[in-house]
Amino acid sequence: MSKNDTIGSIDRLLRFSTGVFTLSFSLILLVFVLWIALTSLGYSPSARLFPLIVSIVTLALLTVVVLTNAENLSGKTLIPDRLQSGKSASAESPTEELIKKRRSIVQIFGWIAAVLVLTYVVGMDFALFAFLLTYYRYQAELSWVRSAATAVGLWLFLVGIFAFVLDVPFPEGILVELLLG
Amino acid sequence: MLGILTDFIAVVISLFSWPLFGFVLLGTLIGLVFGSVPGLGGPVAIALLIPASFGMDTTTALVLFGSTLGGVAFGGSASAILVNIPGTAPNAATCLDGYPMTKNGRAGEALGVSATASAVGAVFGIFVLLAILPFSRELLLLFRPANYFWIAIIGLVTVASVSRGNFIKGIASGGLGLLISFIGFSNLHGTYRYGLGTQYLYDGIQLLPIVIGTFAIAEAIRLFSSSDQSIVDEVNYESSGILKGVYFVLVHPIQVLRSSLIGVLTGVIPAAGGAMANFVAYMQAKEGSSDPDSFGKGNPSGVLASEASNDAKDGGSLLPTVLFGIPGSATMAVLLGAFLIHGITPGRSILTEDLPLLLALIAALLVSNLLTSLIGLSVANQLVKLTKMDSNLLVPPILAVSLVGAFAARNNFGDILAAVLFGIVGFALIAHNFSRIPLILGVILGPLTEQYFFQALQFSNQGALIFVNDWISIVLILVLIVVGLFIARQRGGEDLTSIREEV
Repeated sequence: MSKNDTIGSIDRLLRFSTGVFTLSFSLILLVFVLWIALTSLGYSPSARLFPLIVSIVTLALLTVVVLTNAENLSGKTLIPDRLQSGKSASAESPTEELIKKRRSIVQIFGWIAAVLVLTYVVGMDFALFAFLLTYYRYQAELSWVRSAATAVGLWLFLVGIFAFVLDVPFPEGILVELLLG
Repeated sequence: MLGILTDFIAVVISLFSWPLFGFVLLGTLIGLVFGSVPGLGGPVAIALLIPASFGMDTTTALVLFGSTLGGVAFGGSASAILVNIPGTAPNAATCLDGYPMTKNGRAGEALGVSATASAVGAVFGIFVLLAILPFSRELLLLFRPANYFWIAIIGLVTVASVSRGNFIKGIASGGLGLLISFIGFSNLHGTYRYGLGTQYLYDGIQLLPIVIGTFAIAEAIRLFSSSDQSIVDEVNYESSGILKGVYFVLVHPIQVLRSSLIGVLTGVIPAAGGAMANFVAYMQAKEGSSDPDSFGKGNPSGVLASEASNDAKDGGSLLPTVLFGIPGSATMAVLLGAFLIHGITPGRSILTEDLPLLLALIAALLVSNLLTSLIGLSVANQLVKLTKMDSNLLVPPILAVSLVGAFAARNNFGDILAAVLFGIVGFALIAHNFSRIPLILGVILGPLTEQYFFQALQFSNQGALIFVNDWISIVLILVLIVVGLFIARQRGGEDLTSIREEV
């Protein structure tokens, strides 16, 4: 799959109605709670009592939420009005502004993922500096000088407070561990 | 009560010694900055300060937290008055008359009213809290595990029902929090639950990454996705108006006390918080005024009511937080997490052996509120510049501090991943109109509730009857029924103050 295909796929995904995202989120929560409930059955009676009670109640509530969202998407009546979990998200196609907002959410997830990967590979001190510098330069579109100055200042603040004052070691990456043996 | 008051005064005096006073100043300034920038506020400030507080002794950490709380409120009011942008939700009503006063060239007067009303409101709220503490202590000594169990249930249901968004989603959010808290090895049952056999989940998901993720990282994502630069005009004010504002508050003592009382009472309601206190006090002042039509056009009484109640609410919302572990606001929910991370348990112990720590927090809140009024007036113009800042620029430091902070507790990379996961979950909860406060409360109360439940059964030969056979339990059950009836009367729709962010 080429880069353009990937971007195109993501863009198509972002054009789903808000209702689809809302329904998907509530379904994910429902599946999680269902998993907890089913897993509970494998524990001793005392260990499963509380989680089972809570998961059954939460399942019931999330079912109402899912049905409310599904009703809005399908246009069919699935549950009585008084049980509905509030005004549901729109089933209409999103506006360009909303799509732009969703793209920015994907962007920030990308930045966070990049920091995590860099932290794991080369260590947090380098990862944070690289993140700060590239973010301010390419995302916030500051000049190289301002980006570098801001990144250095913030990095020194973080290292100063956490590493020196609070004596918190930053995680080393696997590359550093390999090099040091 | 005299004993607590004497101890409190001694603690206040000790705050003026070095280095504690340094932390009071630091917390106040941090609070002022976080309060000024829309989207940050108390919860994010406390969440980011928690990891920074690990290297401090508990008293110093609580002084820092208390001072930050004190600074947040005025930071928000300065931007509300000068540029019509409330720094925090509890400052929203201040815009209604504060900004018109600025447009009429009376910005200094508005700030003077705000600073003085805030200080008086804070003092009132704190002294009400101190007055109630001795009686609460005696009451709590009567509580047994079965009673604490019902308190936890009431707390979860109440917080869920009055939080932003729909109550069904609120209770579901609380349920999710409880379930998350059950992950890990249970000392109570000797069973490793829901951990998928992983080593990381053996100790459960730690509270710190959950708090940092749900509040700080989620806010960073939200700031990024809705980033815009506030276009505000340059505002300068004459300091001579400030004294006029101070005088206005001093000659309206009844109004100040009434608004402060509203603040304390609404602060006590779990999860209602300052936003409600703000508007209720404002509406009361308007309805009780001889000139209600002048409200909304620059009536200093509007600013007075809003700010006095906003600061008094902190004393009120501390009460259910420290007594029962039921947060009075989102900030209190995060503060509750901070208590637990520092080994302080709400309830009996915080009113007995940990009382000096609680008094240190309250004293810091008091001193900070007084300092904030003085410092805030002199730097208000500078604070307002923060509202002009592109929120995009704030995202990296928030993320960086969050990730380092999440790692700081146990030096475990898994905590960083957990914080990021909960950041995404927290953002999704905001976007789909689930409240985060019940989630956090569920995580905090889950282990305690289960523990109280089984302790009650263990020390009884009456079985389940232990939960209904004393007057305290019966009263608590009646309270739960009343709360349930209140919920049942509500329609299943959105509450009027909920803000749905579409994703």
